Amino acid sequence: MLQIDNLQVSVDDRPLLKGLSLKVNAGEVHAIMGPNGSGKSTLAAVLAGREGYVHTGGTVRYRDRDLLAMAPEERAREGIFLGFQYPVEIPGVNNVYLLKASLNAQRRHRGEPELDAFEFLRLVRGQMEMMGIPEEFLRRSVNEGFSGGEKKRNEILQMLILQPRLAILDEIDSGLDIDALKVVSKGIQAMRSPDRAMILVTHYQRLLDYVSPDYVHVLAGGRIIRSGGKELAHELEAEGYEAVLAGAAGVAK
Amino acid sequence: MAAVRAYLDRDAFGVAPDPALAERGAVHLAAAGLPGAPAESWRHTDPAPLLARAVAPALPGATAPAADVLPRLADALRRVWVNGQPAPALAEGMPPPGVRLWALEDAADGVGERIPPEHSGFAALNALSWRHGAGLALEAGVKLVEPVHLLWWSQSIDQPWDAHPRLLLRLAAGASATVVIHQAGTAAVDAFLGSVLEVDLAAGAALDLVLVDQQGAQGFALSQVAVHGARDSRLGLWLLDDGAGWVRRELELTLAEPGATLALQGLVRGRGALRVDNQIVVHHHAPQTHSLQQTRAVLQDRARAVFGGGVRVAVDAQGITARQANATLLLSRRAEVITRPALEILADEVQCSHGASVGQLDETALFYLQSRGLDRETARTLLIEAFARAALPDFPVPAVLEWVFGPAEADAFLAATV
Repeated sequence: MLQIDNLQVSVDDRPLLKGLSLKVNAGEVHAIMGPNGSGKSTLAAVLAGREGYVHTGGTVRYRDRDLLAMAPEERAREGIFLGFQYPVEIPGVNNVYLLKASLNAQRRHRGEPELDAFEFLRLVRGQMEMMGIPEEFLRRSVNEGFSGGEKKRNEILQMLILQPRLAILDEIDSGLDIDALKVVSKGIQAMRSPDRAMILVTHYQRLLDYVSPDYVHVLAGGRIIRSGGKELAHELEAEGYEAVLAGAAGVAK
Repeated sequence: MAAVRAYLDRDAFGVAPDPALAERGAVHLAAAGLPGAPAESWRHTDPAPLLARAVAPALPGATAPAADVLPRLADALRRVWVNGQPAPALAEGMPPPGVRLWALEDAADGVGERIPPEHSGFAALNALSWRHGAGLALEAGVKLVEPVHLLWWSQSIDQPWDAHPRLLLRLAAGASATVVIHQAGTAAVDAFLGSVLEVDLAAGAALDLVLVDQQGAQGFALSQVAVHGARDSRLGLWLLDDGAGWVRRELELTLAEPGATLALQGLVRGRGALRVDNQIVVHHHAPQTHSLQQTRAVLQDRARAVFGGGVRVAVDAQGITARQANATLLLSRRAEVITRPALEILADEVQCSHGASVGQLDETALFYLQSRGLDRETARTLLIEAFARAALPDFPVPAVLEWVFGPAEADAFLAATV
């Protein structure tokens, strides 16, 4: 599904990703962990197509296409979903409108008929119930005045409706209390499927108690310095990043 | 000044609906001339292009447009003027009992009480030159549900022309109405509309007043507006600019007695070389009066908007509140906004505030929408329109917004609050 080889990315001539390689197959859940400033959010943003990052080397293939050549909206329509660490408030734009516009943009792109209002609402209501989102959220501005937890649940709601092929969730667990974390985790678990891949970018092991990853990668200095199974997350939690970093040979500082 | 002489020569006395008023106008115009850049309130708008074109312009001939090209509000009482001339064939609706809607030139009693000819050079020019207009009077307690749509439609003729609409709105105690005064037309009309609007709100009267300008690039519009609000009267005032020409409004809004309130919301959508100058002065003459001025501008190309937001609080007007806020989205390097709050407060116990912000489109919001599959242009349009619509919460005649924004996707936008 996704093949990253030796990816190098800079911002303002400052290298942030320095030869990152990662392969993600359909059906897999990968957790990317690492200390602050290691490049986790950069990776998520680059995969979704955020402007301002300069690609200086390496390749990213997504479903056998050059991902970096695609506009952000095309990536979205091709099934990539980025859950934002800080979901953006958009005053005046109706939440339900954005959900519908997103879904219909994707359906048009794939040559499927657009959903009418009735079909769409039926789809949304079911998913909202699962995420514990009250109906009145639909009639509010996108994320405006939402609490941190509400914003993150709204991201997951969008994901549930868009049914992406590759979901990249950037610190979806940050700022959540334990109840909200459970709800968000439930949404993520519901998305696991043999034809879908997920990348969870996270700082803490907490989320991984609820969503058990197939692989855990440690990102430091713009590269993946260690990969392992879910036990690696426990090791990080127990010993801290410092110890794991020190143990990894040849880390680029 | 050549323009003044040309107007004086052209508008021979005696043919005006109110000859005495016209003569006072002529006298004041000859003595004071038309104001220009040295005056403080004209500092940011150059009247030279207006004065230069005004030398001996033609009085327009009326040509009837096809009825279906004119903007229309369902169920409205509509009166139409084409190039300043009444077009009775295009009128729609009859006023219900207790409501009088008439051609002001037929009965001009009370004209000039709120804006006398001596008020300014342009007030004098209108007093001298007005030939047609509208009066609306509501008897006490009458609630007029249907909006009143007064449309001044401009059509291109083979020479420059000018017209000087005169409007009078009078709501007796407890009456309420919604009035849309709409200046629009076909593109490339070389015209000057110099209007005067006088409004009287008696105790407890409520008026929603919408002033819309959608004239083309060659259009000049100068409006002088005076509103007098008595005890517990309520004025909702919306200023909408969506044209490409030269627009100036001078608004004197007087909260004369306790309990009178004003809520003003303005939106300038500027493209091309649009020049809009709103000079607003709110007079708090009495205690416990409240005003709110919220204006927004979305400016592209070389468009320029000026907001002069004056608040004057009389010495014994205690316990008033006066709030002003402006937010502008600049979408081009050459676009420009000037906001100038001017507060003159003589009372002690007042709450006055003002704020202004200027910004560009939020790149993060654009990316967020793109990452949800919306293409960049759609995302951009959506953000701009959401910002603009947020300038007009509680807009009283939603159909008017379609003239400005075009038909929206039904559920895209909230009736947002600022």
